[in-house]
Amino acid sequence: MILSAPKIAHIGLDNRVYQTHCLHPKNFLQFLGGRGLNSHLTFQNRSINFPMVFITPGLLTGTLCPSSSRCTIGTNISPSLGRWADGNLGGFFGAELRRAGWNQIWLEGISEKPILIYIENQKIKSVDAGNLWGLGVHDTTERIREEFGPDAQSLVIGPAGETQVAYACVMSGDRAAGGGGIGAVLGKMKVKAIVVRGTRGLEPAQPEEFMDACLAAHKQVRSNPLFGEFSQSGTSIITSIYKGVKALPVNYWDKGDSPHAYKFEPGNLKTKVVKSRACYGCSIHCSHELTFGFEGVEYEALNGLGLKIGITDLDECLRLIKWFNNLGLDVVQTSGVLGMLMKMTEDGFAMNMDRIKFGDAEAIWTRVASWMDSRRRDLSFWNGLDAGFERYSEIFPPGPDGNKGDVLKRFRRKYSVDIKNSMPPSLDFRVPENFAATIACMTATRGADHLRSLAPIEAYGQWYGREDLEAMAIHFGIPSDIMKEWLDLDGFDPKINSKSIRGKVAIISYFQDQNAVTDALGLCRFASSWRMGVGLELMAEMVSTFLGIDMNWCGLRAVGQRITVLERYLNSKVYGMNKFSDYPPEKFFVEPLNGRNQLSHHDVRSARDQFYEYNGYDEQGCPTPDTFEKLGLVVK
Amino acid sequence: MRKERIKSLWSHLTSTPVEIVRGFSRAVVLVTRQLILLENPVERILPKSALLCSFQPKKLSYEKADSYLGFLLTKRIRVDYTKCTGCKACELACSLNHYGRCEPEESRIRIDRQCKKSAEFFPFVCQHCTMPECVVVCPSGACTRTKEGLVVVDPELCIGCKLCIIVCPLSSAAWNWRLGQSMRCDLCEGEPVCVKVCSTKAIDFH
Repeated sequence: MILSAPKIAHIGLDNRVYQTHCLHPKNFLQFLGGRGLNSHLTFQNRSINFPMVFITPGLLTGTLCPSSSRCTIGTNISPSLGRWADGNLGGFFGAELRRAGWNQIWLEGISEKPILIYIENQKIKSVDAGNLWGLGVHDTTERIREEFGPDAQSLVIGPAGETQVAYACVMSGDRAAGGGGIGAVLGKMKVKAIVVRGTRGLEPAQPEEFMDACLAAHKQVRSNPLFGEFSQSGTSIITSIYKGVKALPVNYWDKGDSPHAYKFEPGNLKTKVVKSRACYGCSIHCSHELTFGFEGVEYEALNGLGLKIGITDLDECLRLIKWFNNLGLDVVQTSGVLGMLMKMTEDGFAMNMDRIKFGDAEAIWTRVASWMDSRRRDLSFWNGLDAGFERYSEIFPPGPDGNKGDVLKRFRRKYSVDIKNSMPPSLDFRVPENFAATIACMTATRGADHLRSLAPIEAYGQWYGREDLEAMAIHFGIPSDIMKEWLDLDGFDPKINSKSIRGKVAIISYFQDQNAVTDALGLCRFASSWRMGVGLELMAEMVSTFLGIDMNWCGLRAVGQRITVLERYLNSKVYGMNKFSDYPPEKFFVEPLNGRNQLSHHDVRSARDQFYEYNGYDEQGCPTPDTFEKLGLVVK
Repeated sequence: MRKERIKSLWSHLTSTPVEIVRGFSRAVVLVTRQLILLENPVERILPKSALLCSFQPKKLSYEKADSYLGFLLTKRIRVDYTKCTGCKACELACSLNHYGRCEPEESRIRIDRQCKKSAEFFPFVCQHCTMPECVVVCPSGACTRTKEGLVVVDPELCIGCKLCIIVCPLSSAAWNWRLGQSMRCDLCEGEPVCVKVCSTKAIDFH
């Protein structure tokens, strides 16, 4: 067995030199790539306190494997979360980086002046980017295309990243790696863009077998009954699903439904679509070119800058999304903060400069534009939620015992719906159909993140009987014995009781591992965990033939477990998180949705404790030494 | 008539230095189009869309002489560029099948992004013309047309002069940078893998 050594370009921005590392094969096989390598390196360098950015395509990114275009971008110090963070984007950048022969780009240090890093196969050079500094994402991408050719792929930050807004994201075309404000970290490093051109190609160890495995996966994706609908509508179909159960986050989770919801449904959105577009090697092509001159609008953006902040006009919403893309602002986090400010304004608590009404599009344009100016921004929430509430504590009178902290804590609990400093996606935790999603979001290592372990199969499962589900296991790519365990535990039962909670925990735990593997391999959620059924078995086949090793799906699941365990360890031991961090926001316990649904502390606590037990964590959510040992990990 | 045409092309090529840049598909389209326009303005001036739809044989005059009745006349890779999403899966499948590598630059079918804004992608693939100009201009005899009607390149004879790429009116002759050779679609022995992975049926074999 000969493994081609995975190569890491370690670029020091202070003195602009780079060195090449080769990863030890043992570590490589334990983590494979993508989010796995990011977590591994963040863990190894956990004592370092200057900013680093890891840009890591997945192991199979750039190959024929369906929807393998993803690239994970991570950092050790995120401005919005205050700890490690990562984001994930599709498009063409990751594949180009892999084709250039790199498994990872590791940036550290701070450059004196704005630079652009140009990578052509094994050559890496830094170019002065003074002329690009200050330009929006679209203009920058255009200029880069003119200068470096139409085939070069770029990763850029917008004005939000340059001025270090805590929710700035990294963009490649119209695709964003949001989440932890990694754009701001790059802005601090003064890296405006990373441009890659690669022509070296990827060589699987067993080309013929790899080809067969990939064709089988392509066939699996296309034979799925949901393929047609999802390739036409993308994630915007979720609007219809949530409209059905009245769980849309209308006006910052105030109501579950709105008479304007139909405007954001796929039927209406299709009138704005020019053409389908796809990421690298993807057969699902859920992205669409819109008449507004940008592509790839999806559910989080549509609802975040739509009903969540009271915007009821689709055109206005699309204009906002395009503008946010151009600024390089993460839509989920920013819209969450905007919604929170609107709610505070409604209750009369917002400070003068934060006052903004639901659905006031004009005000959003002027406010967000003014927040690009760092002096004004310091006074508000744009340097992170912690800093914002700290600021607000000044206007509160102290409590009866002279303690400001308590009032502030209560105030924060009332308005902010963040979990671990991260705003949740546009789903409502209060409807019983979303209980598994609640477990997924609250236990996610990155914050309130549905992409860590959410399992749409659990939601579908509620519509089907046991026999149907057993037959459908193949469509979802679930190993049959796992499916049997879930059915025995009533995991698909929409009613919440002690047994079904156990089942839902089992489902979420499985998908936590599978999604970590998906990220490590650079696959898209759409092809794997979400709907299209490229499960662990198919992935294991592709990995074994690509690397020329023997790996079964249990071995691959262990890779996923390792990734999550390291991230949890970081959270617990380095950043002091405990079981209270893995808890949904208070709003969803005290304010019933549609007058009846709300979360119960008993159910949530029981689910959380069972989740810890099921995955081998201690009662505070930190992986036990046994778990470490079982997965072959060593804490140094 | 045709001999004259090729003669003029030759003279044009020898008098003007033609530079082909790396990542060439776009450049080749431009160069080819310029040459076509220079050489025969009346016959070959077609609107962009017509040129790119030219995989329908009727539109090009040299296809009139199509008297060969092999399987290729009934079955070829047909392209509907309106359906192409630009995912490059066909390129990956082709290069993996022929060279054991996932590298779009080594593919015999290739997607050209004409306009970045309007999301138009054009798959180019050899149509195995009845009177292939690449065969006529090939100085080493590497490029030939088999009895079955396939246009093939013998890698051992190919000297890498790139003339076939320049003359191809459909911009479909492909160039392998790594090996320094010209390459043609060989239809994967009747079951093209690119068609297998295309999810929108933008390329179809019928």
